[in-house]
Amino acid sequence: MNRVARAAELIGQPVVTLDQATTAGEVRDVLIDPERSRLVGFTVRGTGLLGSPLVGILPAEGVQSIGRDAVMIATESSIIRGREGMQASLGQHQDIIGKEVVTDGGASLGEVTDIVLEVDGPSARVVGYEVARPDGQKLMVPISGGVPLSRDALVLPAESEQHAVTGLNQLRQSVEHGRPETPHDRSSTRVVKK
Amino acid sequence: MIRLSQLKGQRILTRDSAVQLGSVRRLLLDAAAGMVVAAELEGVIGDDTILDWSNVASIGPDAVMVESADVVRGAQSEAEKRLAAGELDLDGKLVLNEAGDALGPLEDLEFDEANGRLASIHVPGHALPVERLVALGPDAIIVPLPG
Repeated sequence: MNRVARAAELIGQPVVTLDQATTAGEVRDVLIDPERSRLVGFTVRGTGLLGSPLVGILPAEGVQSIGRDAVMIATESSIIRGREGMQASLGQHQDIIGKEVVTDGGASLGEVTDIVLEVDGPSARVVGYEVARPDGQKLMVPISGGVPLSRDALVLPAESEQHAVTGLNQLRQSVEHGRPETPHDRSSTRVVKK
Repeated sequence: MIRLSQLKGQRILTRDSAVQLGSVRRLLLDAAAGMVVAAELEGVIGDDTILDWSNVASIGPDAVMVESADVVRGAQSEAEKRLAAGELDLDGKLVLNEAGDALGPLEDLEFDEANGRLASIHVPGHALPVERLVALGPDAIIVPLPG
């Protein structure tokens, strides 16, 4: 069953193994590829105190289910540990939270405060961004397909501003009505960090 | 059918000599098979804390009867050692379904005392019929999705 969730809701969720029913850690960052609007995976930290050390990277392929309360994986070995493996799977990355959002018409909307995902069992795709305008007002901007991101900004189609809504529920409705087209094909990995 | 809550603290008596061997502390589940396979006892003299479920002769309102003191034994398997260490304790453990949705802490568990077969898991407000578990571990009890 599909559901629409904020990336921020996933942060701190336990990562639980299906074979041993152990908590392998908890979600620290949600990794997305905005240009293909897909989930890349998660970084996993130790449980307990905030700031627990990084345990490893959980690639999206290793996820069995993204639940309301836990991210389920088959075994502990679904998490890639060690510096080299982690770097190889992360590639170049950057924080998307705090990034300036500019329309392709050249208007600045504000900055990214959260990402909205449509979760379907083990997979998830990006269906919108929450943007804080300079006056503090927050907008939910739906997207259909990939959007370019650089060090400097995230560029959204100008019409997405007209489709912006104020709450997650409204965005949920618009996601359920329109199916976005296939995202285009440039690959990179970004880190969503809280 | 019998519940975990009815068994906890029940004394174990031998039929042949009327000796109290101890009382039920925890139950050991075989998650994949969906069976209660043993009970761990407390208050025993010595290290023989494991009572295989197949050696339970009768469960009365006031005692669990076994034939003789020979039926209790020490913890041997990995699972029995983990049980004795408290890792596989059931009470209050988080029940998750395999999709990752939390159903609540385990309040009770019901099974067929004749063969140990699991019947239901009780969480606040619900009794979930279960035939087997996906996994039972130190952090969670994972149940299959219904259907």
